Amino acid sequence: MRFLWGTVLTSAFSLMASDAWAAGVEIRGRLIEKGTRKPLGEVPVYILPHKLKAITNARGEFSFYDVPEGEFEWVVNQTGYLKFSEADSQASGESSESRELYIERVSYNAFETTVVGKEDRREDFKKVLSAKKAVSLPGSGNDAIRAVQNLPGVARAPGLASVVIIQGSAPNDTRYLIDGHEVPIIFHFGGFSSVMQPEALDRIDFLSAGYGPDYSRAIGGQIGAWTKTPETESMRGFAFVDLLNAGGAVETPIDDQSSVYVGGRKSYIGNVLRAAVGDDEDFDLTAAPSFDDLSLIYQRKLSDRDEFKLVTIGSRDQLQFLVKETLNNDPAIRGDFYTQTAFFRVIPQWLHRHTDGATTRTSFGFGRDFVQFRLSQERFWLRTIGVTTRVEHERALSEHWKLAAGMDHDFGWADVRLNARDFYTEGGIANPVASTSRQELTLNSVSGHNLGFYSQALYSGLPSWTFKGGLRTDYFAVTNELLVGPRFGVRKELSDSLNLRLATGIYYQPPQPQETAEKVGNPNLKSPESFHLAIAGEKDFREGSNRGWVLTTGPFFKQSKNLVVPSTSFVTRNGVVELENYSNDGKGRAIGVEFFLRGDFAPYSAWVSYTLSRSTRRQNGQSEYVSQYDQTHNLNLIGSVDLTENWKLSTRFRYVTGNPYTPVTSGVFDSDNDTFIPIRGPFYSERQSPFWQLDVRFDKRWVFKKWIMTAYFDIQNVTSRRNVESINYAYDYKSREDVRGLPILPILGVKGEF
Amino acid sequence: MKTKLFFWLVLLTACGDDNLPKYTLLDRFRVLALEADTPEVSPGATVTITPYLSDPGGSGRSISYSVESCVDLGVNLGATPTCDGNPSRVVVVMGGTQAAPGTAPHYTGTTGTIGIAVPSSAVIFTDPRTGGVRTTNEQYNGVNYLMIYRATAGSETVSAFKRIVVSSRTTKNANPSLTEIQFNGVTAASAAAPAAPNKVRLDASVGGGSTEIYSYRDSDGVLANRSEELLVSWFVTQGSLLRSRTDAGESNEYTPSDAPLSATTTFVAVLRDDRGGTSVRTITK
Repeated sequence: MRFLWGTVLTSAFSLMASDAWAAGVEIRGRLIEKGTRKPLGEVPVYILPHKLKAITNARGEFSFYDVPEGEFEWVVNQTGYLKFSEADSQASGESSESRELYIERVSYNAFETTVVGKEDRREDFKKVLSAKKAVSLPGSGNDAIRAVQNLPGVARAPGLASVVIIQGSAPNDTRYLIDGHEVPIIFHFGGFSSVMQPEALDRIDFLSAGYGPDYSRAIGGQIGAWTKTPETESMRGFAFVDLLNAGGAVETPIDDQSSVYVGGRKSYIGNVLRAAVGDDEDFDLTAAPSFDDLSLIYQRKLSDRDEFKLVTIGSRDQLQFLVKETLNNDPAIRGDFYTQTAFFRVIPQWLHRHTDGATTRTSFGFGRDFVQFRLSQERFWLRTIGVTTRVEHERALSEHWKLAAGMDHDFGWADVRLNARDFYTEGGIANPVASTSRQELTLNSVSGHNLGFYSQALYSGLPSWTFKGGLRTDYFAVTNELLVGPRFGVRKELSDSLNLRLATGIYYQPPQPQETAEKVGNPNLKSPESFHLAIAGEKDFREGSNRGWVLTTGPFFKQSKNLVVPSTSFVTRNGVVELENYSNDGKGRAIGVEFFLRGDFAPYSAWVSYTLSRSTRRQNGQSEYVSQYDQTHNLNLIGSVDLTENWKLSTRFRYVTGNPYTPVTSGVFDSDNDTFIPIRGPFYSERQSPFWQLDVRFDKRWVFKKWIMTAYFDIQNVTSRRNVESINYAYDYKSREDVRGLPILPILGVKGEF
Repeated sequence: MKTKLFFWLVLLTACGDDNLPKYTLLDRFRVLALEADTPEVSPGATVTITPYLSDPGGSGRSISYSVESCVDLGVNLGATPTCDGNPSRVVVVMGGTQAAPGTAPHYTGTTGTIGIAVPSSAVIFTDPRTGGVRTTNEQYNGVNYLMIYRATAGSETVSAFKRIVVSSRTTKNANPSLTEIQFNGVTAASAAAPAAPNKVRLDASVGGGSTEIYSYRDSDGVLANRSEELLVSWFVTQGSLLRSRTDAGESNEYTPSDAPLSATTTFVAVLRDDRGGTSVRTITK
């Protein structure tokens, strides 16, 4: 209403101030941002030389009355936009057509590195990445979730691994969530792309040491992707194509209360691989590796206090090839190879705002997972049905007290078929599959569930202090344990631009399903447990301006016990002597310091992310050794500059200490299986050479009236450095060579959006 | 399972160069097979093991060796293949010296046989880790008795082991039969020596009855029939082979060296069932 009155009054004033009381025409129109078609409100529009002025309303509409006949000029001069000037004319007596004025932004690039979003008062150790901005980080391959790998505390995953390794923990210690509900994978095959279109996401949460009580079941950390609210003003969409995949999406308001987003992608990475590598006499790509995914988001405002959202996601990865020649001198690794991982989730969500300002969020997840693996005679097949629930109530009890409490529950049924040899791996070195025992397992409708309750109280009654006390209680049916994990945090504002914070807690996660399965696992396993302590200080050197540095730094510490490790011991279960398979004999410790410096100096921006850490493990009969995921130094330098004409140049440099590995000292010939059994040296006692890589990315936007075309050229590993990813041994383990990563990888992508 | 799938993907996508020694090329001292006259026996039996060696440094040099045996503590499950520290360990030969198995510059073939006395059922059917009697299933399907063989020629030392299956099964496993190696469909013995640039199709002729159907007790004690799967391993002293292993009935391909180091080439085919049965054929052309 304010806009309307402003427009009326301003228009009236303009009319009176002009000499246009003479007979003229009425001209109406809309002011629109070029390319995005976003209406621009509260912007002055001038008609010269008549000195007429109107202010647009929230819908970008403006009106002029009694505009003198003849030629005139439209002028819009708004901060952040190129000056708009366009000649026009209006004949007397003609009915006036509505005008649409398109003005162009100075730049359509995201200027700032504030990929890291606003703070969450309940989570001092959560980093939030804006999905829209994270995709343009160099080396991210236009994927928002991959951008997480630039954050401090995240180890570089080896080669084509599609995992996130947090602060020296194992990959299985990270849990992946979409809108708070767990999904089995977060990246497609090879880690090139995450399972959701970045355009469907609003933000990515990265929870590391010391995270709050509202999440659990992961002793390493959590990666949470949160879907966006579909466009509510006008229909928008995009289509894109790049080296690996193509896709598109449309989002539109349905009515005043609801909107929808529908998008999908399909890869042709296999065809690219086939063209680049081709089949050879040892290897045939029977079916090209491919992945595809689908995202659907429906949002509806039910009332002033209620919102409903329905998110549906589906993902499928498939790979098939024929191995004609034995790989790794293992006669079992030969023949037809096929793997498929697929899942879908339907996640209805309801947000209710109470009259007193409290909120209640309720969401459910229903989904299925499909995993299939086949290599010659080896078979694994898994089907699951899962139902998950999350409920959280948050309210302010008083000016200084806030309370959040909730529960989450997941229930799953699984059918499993396993007929495969065991994959015995210790110290990161696998025994030949041909030398291991065959495992046969059939499980029908086995079920399990995890139930958790949590509460967190925030007290801010002491000046500059905030205290957070939380309690997490989990019941894991698979281990039949009721586990209590206290969480505590404190924050001290030393000044407007400087704060210190501390968080600590105890965390549990259930063992992996195969680790507790009858026959192939150990049903008596307990849950791994970890103690976290994290301290951080943050200094905002911008002091209220939008230029300058923000520094966040501090140490973290994790101590874990009951870690699950392979066991070749025999135990008596139900009166029967059986192989133990796994035990809780593992212990671990990770300690480190993180350093995160972000700078905005438009048009320049910079990002320095560095982690110094040491992660160790210990198990019975072994002295302490460094963890497989220990990376002493992990440095990410990112810089970007916005150039004129909507060009943007950005670059990333990474340096990471080489991964530790277990040397193999010799091999013993297994005459029955025609292969060699490796004899391991001290666990992880040697390291690969350090990893470093330079990536460069160019972005260019062409802005048309009603749509924008974007092109990016992401050149990963510009120097084509062949970093060592692993070790290949001769058949008898008497000699070895390095296995090196991909050389230069240029990815060109084009995207059109309206 | 995520870890295992990840392991497989890494394994399958790993790619090194071709600078490592070729498995099929006999260019160093190595054990090619340990063949038991009876791969599966009852407790208390005696088994004769014939080692097949390849020694490019041959020329009549002697080979020293040692042999020990013990009850398997679970090599299939990840235990190290050794008898060290195993209470059932028996030293069969210590510091033995084998006279030169041949005077050829590159010797590939058998050496002297070794007799292994399998312990009685009181020992072999007692689990050394628990002291308890093994289950009926284990006794029926078989307990592995390890024979560890260590040989040294010059400065090169190789280690190998073989599992002798000791079971209560009435029908024991027998060695498969590899009757001959064929060059382009012709018995190798009567075929012309391969010469560059002509490639040669290699086939291993498998005798009838080599693929046995055997009974097996599953974990619930239910008897089920299984079929052996035969695999042929190929070796050559010079030139190159397309495949290191082929299924029985599947052909291989030999490419002669353009610049052969020796006037003759030795071809070795080792046929294995998947229960310890072995058959070896060697031909020098």
